[in-house]
Amino acid sequence: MRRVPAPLAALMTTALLLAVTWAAFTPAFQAPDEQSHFAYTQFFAETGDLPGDPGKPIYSSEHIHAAQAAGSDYVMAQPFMRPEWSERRLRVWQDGHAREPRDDGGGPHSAAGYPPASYAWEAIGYRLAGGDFFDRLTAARIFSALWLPVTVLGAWLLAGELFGRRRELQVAAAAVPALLPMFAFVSGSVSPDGMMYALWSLVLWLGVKALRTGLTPARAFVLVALVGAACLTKATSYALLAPAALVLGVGLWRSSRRLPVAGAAVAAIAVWVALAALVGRAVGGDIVVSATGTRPGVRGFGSYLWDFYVPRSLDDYPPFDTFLVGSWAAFGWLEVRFDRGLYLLAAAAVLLVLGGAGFALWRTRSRVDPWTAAFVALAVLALLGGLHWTDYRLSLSEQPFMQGRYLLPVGALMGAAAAGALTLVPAVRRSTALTAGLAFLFAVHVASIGLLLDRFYA
Amino acid sequence: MRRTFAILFVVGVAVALASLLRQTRLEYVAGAPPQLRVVDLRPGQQLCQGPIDLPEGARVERVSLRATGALTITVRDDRDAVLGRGSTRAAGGDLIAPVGAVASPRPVRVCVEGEGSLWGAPATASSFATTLDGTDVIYDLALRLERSHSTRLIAALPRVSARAAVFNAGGPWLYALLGLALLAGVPALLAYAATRSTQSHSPEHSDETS
Repeated sequence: MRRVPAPLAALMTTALLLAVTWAAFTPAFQAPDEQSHFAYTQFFAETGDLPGDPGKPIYSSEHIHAAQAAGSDYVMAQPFMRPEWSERRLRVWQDGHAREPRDDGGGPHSAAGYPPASYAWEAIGYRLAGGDFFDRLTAARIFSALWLPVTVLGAWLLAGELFGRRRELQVAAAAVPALLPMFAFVSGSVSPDGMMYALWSLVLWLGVKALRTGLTPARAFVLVALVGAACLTKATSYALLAPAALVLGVGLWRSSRRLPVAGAAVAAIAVWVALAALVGRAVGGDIVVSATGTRPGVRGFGSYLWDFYVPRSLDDYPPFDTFLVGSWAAFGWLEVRFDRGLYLLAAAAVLLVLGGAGFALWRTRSRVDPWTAAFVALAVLALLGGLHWTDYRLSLSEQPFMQGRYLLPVGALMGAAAAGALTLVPAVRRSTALTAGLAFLFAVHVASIGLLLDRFYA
Repeated sequence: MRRTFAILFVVGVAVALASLLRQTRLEYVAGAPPQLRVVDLRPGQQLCQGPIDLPEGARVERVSLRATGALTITVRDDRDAVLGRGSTRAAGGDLIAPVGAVASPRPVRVCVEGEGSLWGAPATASSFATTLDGTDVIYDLALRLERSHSTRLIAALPRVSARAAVFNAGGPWLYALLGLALLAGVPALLAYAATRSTQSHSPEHSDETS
């Protein structure tokens, strides 16, 4: 039997520990949209049904009073406010409201149109935990946190495919999702995103593996099943359809066993379609955007992209303010941030890594499999394209949308870029460079938890 | 591995210490965020907000509120006994009023008199009854109850973990344990990962997964 490599086990344990720490320290509902995600989880756990009935209230009676007692609504994005920490207030809530109905929510809310896979998973934690409202909230968070080690595994495996079994490079790649604070913060909240990051990282690995070493029936089935699971987790994952189709197309073209491979893919698609039909949520509300105002158009979209990417001022540069800040450290309802200096340091690290990875890629260009490159590029462009199109459409009705954490599904590729940059370091210095990188990410993570404590409890 | 662990441990502890050097004087926030000017108080009027259930061990030495003008703050308990009183002075964008030393196991009210404008928010999710001259109003003030001297966050860590544990699963012990795991366990795991990654080309590791 094959053993799990010790460095991988250590990184997966680290990731779980950090995600659980965020799950424990983050006050109730002080993560993006957690009220809605928990309402979905609770309603599903209590009734087995999906929310969205316009005739029902959004939240259960228990949820309403627990959130009110904890001061959640007042604290959201309000740096002046703190969550409730009076023990007497807790006792008042326990005596008066702790046994209120849990199953009388189920109304429409911002997450009600989402697909159900992650909520069904988090509902297991909710059901297993028992206890009071906050025990069940924490349990649902911890079930979400369990996906972060899987994200780390995907990053490790992807680096193994791209660079071979070079453990230092795999450690560098897997350390990115394990240590970058936003992965642990988001994965440690009730949200579909933690599960989505994990499934994306496995799809990216399996896609590359299938392109490099062949598409077997088992790989075709698992790849389509993973894409289906990702789409049943969050509709952002429809961006995986085009890269997955590329893998299947190229794999079938190269395969000597076309019929079994195609059959396996069709079987997985059939299971996916059947499940989607069963739950009635094939497409999530997060891509069904009903913007009002100006009609979206190609010219308008081009103008939007120009404004987004072409710098007018270094103090107001959207890729920095949304992508960089939001993918590194923007907690709570994004109001918990460091001073700008830390983000400039992070930007320098990102530029170093991207520049190094680009140079390493250029140096080895004759050995790069073009289909693998196309698959990776398609995944990134499909994600970015979908995000920008949604952001553009919503911007027409002045609804803010874009956030840096939306880039995290390609965290495994961010890790691969870090590993690629590390290949440029001479072998004798590579261990030192790796330690420096780990120390930097760990320092940012510790500072992030300090920032959280200062924001909410001091 | 020892050297890598030592580097990571020192970095982690140094950053944790630096993060925890921030000053804090906050005991409790009682009210709403300062979103808008909710009332212009005239001489002779009294605005009261309560009941405020102070956390166990809280000691309130000054009240900070988002306001302008010259105001007098009185802290009373639920039997109307005066526990503290003081006049406001400007501090940054806020007014602060030293009120002595208030520590009450009973619910308290904060009452404001004088002339000035006060900020707060509509009482949509409020657990307070705010009154103007005894009549209920539909807003809450932005009030912060503080100590007069600030302390470093690191010295306040026991209080911080007790606060985090109130509306949450687990007790303060859980936060202490997680803090220890973060500062000692994570560096150990990372050092182990980094060190083992440099030793992985030997035949003994050939049965590992990719």
